[in-house]
Amino acid sequence: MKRPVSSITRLTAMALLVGVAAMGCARHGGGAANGPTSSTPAVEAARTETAATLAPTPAPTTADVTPAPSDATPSTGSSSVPAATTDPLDTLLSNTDALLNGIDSSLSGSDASASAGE
Amino acid sequence: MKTRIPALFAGLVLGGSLLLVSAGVATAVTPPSGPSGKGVCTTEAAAVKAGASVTTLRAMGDCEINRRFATLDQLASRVSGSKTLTSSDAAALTAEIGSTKSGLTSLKATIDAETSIPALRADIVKIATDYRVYVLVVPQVNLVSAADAVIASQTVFSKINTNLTARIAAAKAAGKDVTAAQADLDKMNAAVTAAVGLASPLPAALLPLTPAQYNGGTAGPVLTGARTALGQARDQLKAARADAKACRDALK
Repeated sequence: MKRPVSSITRLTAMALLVGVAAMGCARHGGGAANGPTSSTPAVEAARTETAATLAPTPAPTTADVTPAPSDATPSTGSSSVPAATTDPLDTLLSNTDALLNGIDSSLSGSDASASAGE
Repeated sequence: MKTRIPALFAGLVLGGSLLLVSAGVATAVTPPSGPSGKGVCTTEAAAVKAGASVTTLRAMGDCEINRRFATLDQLASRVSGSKTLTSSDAAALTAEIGSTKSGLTSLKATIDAETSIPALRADIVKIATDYRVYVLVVPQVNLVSAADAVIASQTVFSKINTNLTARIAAAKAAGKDVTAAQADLDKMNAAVTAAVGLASPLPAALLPLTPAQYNGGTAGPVLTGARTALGQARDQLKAARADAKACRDALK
């Protein structure tokens, strides 16, 4: 009982597919005035080539892009942000201040009389 | 899976509990703060004075050792965080701090196990005489740190010298009289040389000092001499800094 139903279903499906395909071919190929409805291999090849030519250029990969020099100066960044004008000598003198403060601190801490006796 | 989730949950709870407990313990046993813990053991000392017993002596000994632990921990942090100590000096100081702490830990165990009052009294005396934390180790760390800082300043003043030399050259090329500026720069360099000369020999003299040398009277003069030399070195560096500023001002 199952096999006849299955065969009928398959046949129906195939028929539907053939019908749909036939309708599609008829629409794509156009009428008799537009030439043959079926295209030759040469025509298919020409269509493929044309499509490839007209296709948008793919975006370049990162490997194709030449990297910009790392030391390039940004055109907008340097002009919009004012350059720091700190004198390097001031920084160095500040460093000596820090060192002298540390020495003072160590010297005061080294005084045994200032700490609790043994 | 049913058994794993409760086990995982239990593990997390246990781990969290341990963290909380350990944090609580760490807080509870944190040694007294302050550079020397001065006055920390006043109560224990008063108790011994009122009536020496094993309990009061042990409490006093433990307190004195704990405040030294606090000091040694502070010194260790300072050494490890120093930017001017040389690596060899830092290593030597770290080793000294570590051995001192290790010795005091052993002494604390001895004191905690001691049941004789005369023996406890002798052990408590050793806290000071065998380790000399406050009159030797603390000054050693401070003086070696100061000496290395003086030596390290040479690098900074060298850069200042480069900077000012370039300024003097530029001013001279512009036709300016740079005699005063050059004299200031020469004074700066001479002062730095003098300071570094004072400080350079000190770490090698300070680091080998021992409690026994302190007890014998030979370490004290070395510490005093180093302190004096470093005071002079500091004054030289202050003068050098003033010379650098004078040099810059002379070029304006």
